[in-house]
Amino acid sequence: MGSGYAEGLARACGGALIFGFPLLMTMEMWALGFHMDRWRLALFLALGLPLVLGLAYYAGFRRAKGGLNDLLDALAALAVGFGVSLVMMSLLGLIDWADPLEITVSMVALQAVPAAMGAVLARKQFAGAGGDDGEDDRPAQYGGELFLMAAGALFLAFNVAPTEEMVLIAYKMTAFHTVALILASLMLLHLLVYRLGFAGQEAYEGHRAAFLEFTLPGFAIALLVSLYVLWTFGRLEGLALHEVVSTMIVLGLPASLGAALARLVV
Amino acid sequence: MAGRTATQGLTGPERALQIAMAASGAILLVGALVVTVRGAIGPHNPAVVEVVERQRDVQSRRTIVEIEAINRGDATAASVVVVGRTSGDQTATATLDYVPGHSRRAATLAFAGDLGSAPVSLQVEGWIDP
Repeated sequence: MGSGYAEGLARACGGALIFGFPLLMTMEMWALGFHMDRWRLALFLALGLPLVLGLAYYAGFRRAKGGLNDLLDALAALAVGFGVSLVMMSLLGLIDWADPLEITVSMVALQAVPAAMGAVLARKQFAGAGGDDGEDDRPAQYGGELFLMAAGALFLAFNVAPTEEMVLIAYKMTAFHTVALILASLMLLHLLVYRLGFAGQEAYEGHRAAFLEFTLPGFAIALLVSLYVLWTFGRLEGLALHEVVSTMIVLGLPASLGAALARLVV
Repeated sequence: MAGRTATQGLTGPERALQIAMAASGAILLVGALVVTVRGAIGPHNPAVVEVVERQRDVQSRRTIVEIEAINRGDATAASVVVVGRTSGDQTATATLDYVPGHSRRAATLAFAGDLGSAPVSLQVEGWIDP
């Protein structure tokens, strides 16, 4: 297979579709377009570019070198994210063109950023199908590893945070469940981190070093990302502090898995 | 940072496509941001929902009344409950998931029998702030 720009773009569309589908099929995501706080949406959109740019640096939908190419590809991935989201939401009849422009833009923009993440990771997603041979990878330094963990956590947290179930689970959990979930999240994160192998992990001879260098910071990132996503979606409004913490810990489980598995894709 | 192989430069049509796609992405992102921020700083009047009858039809011995809920406020109204009452004390209810600000949503109320041109009193019973 060739490696032309058009081919990379086609891969990006595929990647956006695969990453975007779970959210496109989530009712709460459509509804958020109607009522989500516009400042929070604006912040989320503004953070979208550096997020996708970082992923373009480490992965990208094609083999591109240099800061300018990364920036151009990140912007192209956003265009693909917007385009795929708009087309799919139109196809699925989710957009009412009689609604105010602000509603339509909010609905599409919310889907566009995660779809753009899928677009920019397309080369990695389609590894083995002509997408990637891994030879041009930019190994991440420690800061880069933390960024990738945050991106992975954001993606998985974003997939489940809009749902009612997150808050409902937190309501049902007792203090015992909360502590058990924290331990389970930490254990899963550590097992995945240690077994999958992070860049530079060869320096870490044992579990303890990997736990301190990756697992604990990764869990902290997963919790912070969870809190941010819940706040963005307005899921924390009116909740008491202990409910906020419980909901954050519930979302922390998928976020931790996302943080750990980010290395599988990137 | 590990070294990377030489830059794979794009030329001709591919370079043009790359720039066009990047420009599209920038325009879409900035455009979405502008629309969103404009919504954030714009007026925030509460939802004001009213309901009007649009059409009436008789099907299978039932009167089907097509109605439209209109939100003249800025905020979105969720779970909007619309009730129709006839002079014969028949009631029919419809619930609309969302009626965005400055938007309208259609619904249908069904009453037993042929109401002819008898008036149906339409009322919005309530909604929630989503």
